[in-house]
Amino acid sequence: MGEVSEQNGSKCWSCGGGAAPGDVCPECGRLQAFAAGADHWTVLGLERRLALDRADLGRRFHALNRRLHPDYFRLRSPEEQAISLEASAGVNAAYRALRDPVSRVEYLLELEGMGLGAAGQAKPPADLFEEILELQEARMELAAAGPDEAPALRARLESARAEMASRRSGAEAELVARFPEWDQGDAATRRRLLGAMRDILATRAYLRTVLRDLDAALSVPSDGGQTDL
Amino acid sequence: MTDLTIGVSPGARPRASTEGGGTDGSRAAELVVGIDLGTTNSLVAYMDRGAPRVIRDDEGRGLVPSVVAFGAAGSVVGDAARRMLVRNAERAVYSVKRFMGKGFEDVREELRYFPFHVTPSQEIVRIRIGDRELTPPEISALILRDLRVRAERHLGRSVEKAVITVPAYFNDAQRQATKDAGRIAGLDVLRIVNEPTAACLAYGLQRRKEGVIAVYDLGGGTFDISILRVKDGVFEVLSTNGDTHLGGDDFDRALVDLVVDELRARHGVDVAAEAETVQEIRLGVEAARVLLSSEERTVLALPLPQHGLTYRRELTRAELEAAIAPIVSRTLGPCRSAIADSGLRAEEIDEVVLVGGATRTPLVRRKVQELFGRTPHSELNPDEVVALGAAVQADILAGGTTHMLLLDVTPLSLGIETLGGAVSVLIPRNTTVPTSANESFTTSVDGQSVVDMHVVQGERDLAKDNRSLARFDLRGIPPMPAGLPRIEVTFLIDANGILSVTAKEVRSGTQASVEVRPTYGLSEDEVERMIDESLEHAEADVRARALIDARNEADTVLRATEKALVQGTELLDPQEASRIRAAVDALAGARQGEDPAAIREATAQVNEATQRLAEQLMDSALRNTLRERRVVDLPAGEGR
Repeated sequence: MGEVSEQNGSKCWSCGGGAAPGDVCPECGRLQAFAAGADHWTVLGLERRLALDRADLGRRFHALNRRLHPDYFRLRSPEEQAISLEASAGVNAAYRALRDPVSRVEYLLELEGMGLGAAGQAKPPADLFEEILELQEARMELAAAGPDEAPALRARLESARAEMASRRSGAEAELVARFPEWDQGDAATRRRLLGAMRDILATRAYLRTVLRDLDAALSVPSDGGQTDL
Repeated sequence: MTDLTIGVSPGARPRASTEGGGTDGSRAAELVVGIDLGTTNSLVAYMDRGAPRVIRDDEGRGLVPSVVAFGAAGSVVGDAARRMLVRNAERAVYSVKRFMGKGFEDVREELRYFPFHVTPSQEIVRIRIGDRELTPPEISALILRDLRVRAERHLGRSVEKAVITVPAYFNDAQRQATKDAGRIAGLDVLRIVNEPTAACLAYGLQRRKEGVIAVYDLGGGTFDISILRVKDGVFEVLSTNGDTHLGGDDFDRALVDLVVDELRARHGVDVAAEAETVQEIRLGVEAARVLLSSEERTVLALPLPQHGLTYRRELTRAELEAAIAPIVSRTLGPCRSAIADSGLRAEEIDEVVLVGGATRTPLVRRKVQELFGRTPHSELNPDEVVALGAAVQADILAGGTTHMLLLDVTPLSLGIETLGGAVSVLIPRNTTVPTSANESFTTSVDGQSVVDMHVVQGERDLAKDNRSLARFDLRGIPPMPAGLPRIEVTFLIDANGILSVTAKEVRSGTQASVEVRPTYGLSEDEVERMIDESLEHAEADVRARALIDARNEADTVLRATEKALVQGTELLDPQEASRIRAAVDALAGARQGEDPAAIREATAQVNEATQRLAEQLMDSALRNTLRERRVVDLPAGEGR
């Protein structure tokens, strides 16, 4: 599924024969670089789609590294070593970005010029605004609380944490639910869906920050950055 | 083909005759050794026809204590150096790995545990030995050189290339320091490989099992946890975590503190400032701790003649565990973080493997079992498995092993300091290496030709709380109005986990030059100078080594001769006896001197003088043995 048909027209940098990017030249056996500007899907030999099978990604990641990892090119020419290093870094970056649905969408938004930027433009969900302000207070109270009040405050924050975590998982599920539609949609549909997904990501980014703060207040190792998917 | 490493071979004999004439005979495979440069012990291994093998000395010992002692004549490494710890502690350096890639301020706190002196400074650690000052890479280089010589003697050929292991949680500076050490030792370091992943390679080769494996590696001074997915020969590290300042050393420190406190309380003696005494206590408690891994109780007896007393106490496993429990607990947080970062739940981990000598401690095993909910594996010797894995990776790089591939990660997030002292992360932790990231910079003043940036490693939000790696100056920016230049900087972390930086000014297309000022590292010039110095000292060290070897051999011969003289009293005529006595006296005299050749010559004289006696003793021993065998063995028959 999603296999790109034979990439034609590329010439081997060494012998000038026909050779596919990211593969070894069938004529002279030299490793070929990926095309300049190739996106992560192309590097992994895929069409640009959001619904991806993680196990399949893992297999491609292994198979490509088996072919072009620098360990196998140490005895080759400096040119080939450099190509291998860059190509391997490219495969690693592609796999890292695409294996996780959230970073996959973030990458797509970036490609489409709709990136969230470094800070992720966190936006609070409207219906939770009040709740989040109250949590802020509860956190401060916990920090200053004596042994009598602490357990109740802690319990309150813990239940809030569970609520926020489930909202975050909900946001991620909502995101993934749009994938098939984007994959099959026309340009206008895709545009609309990207906007929607961008909003979901902004909500999620906000929830993540809230969760991190709660984790810090409850002093548990934070998994605010983890995705449950 | 016979295998000479089975059994104890007398003398280090070049084994070239069994090498190279391999099965294919097409070309001599490139020789790359694998080195585990440990906090407490180091080892060297190589791939011997498809199987990794630790190189052992004549007595069958693979471990070389990571101790370097500096005598008047030169430096020595290993057991001989370890013995010097209790005689001349100021001139013996151990656990130097804890200082690799560190600044003086980083280690200030723990210096009280070490007998040697460290020069206070703003930069990297410098250890003072007499009138010399040595950096940790230089001292590590002496250990590496010893391992190299050991390998060369065993293999009968020169060894120039190596893979060296480091803790997975080592940062860039610590990795670079290790690589520098290799260069100073005259080795081309083809790869810095992480210890837990090396161990996993060795296990993988051995058992060829697939699944998710957690490697818990508690060594002498460092702790690592790595979680890997193994499939079709690809060893993919999913996450790693650790503490580069946590290990068996800390167990011993807890026990040393206990003994020192008790000496003060019970005997009113304060030995804390006596370097040699503290070393004696340290070696004593270490031996007791090792014993308590298999015994329930032991007696700790430390004669302290200088204080006219012997410290004696029973130590039970329960007491040991009470003393080290807080240290063991410190390993659990990193384990939980690594599990979280792997994206898996603890139940999804198929196997747990134990690596490092300190994992022999029953308490450690129990805690690991509790955390992961399964019995940990330790089929391969936890002291040797890392070196074996290093040999496997060495063989992959030499083009020998092709069915395995290691995909490791960078343990710490890499970032640059932004305005206001915050960190902008460029490469997050647990990213598979090699990996690269690009970042654009511009100027803030018209005509500015230099932009500098500060690169840090770590997980904290503020630059000052992370590890400062280096400051980079981007030079050669063509003069332009402020904000117009666009300098594209590429940060590349290679498969060693080591960073390199290149830069290009995009608008003019000029290659900007990058000047690196490492925060806790050696400059290229310093490394070059150290390589030269190392060669100079190498000659002195070879002489020092030869002297020690000659004296050891003289001692062996003297002891054997004394014994033979007693056993063979009735076999000797007076003339022969006096000739032997004269040779023995001459050797005893030569042994006091500093000339290894003279000692060897005198040793040969004794051997010659005792030759007849030795033969006669051998004959009579043989006759006795035969008599005994006739009685014991013959009834069973010679069933061949």
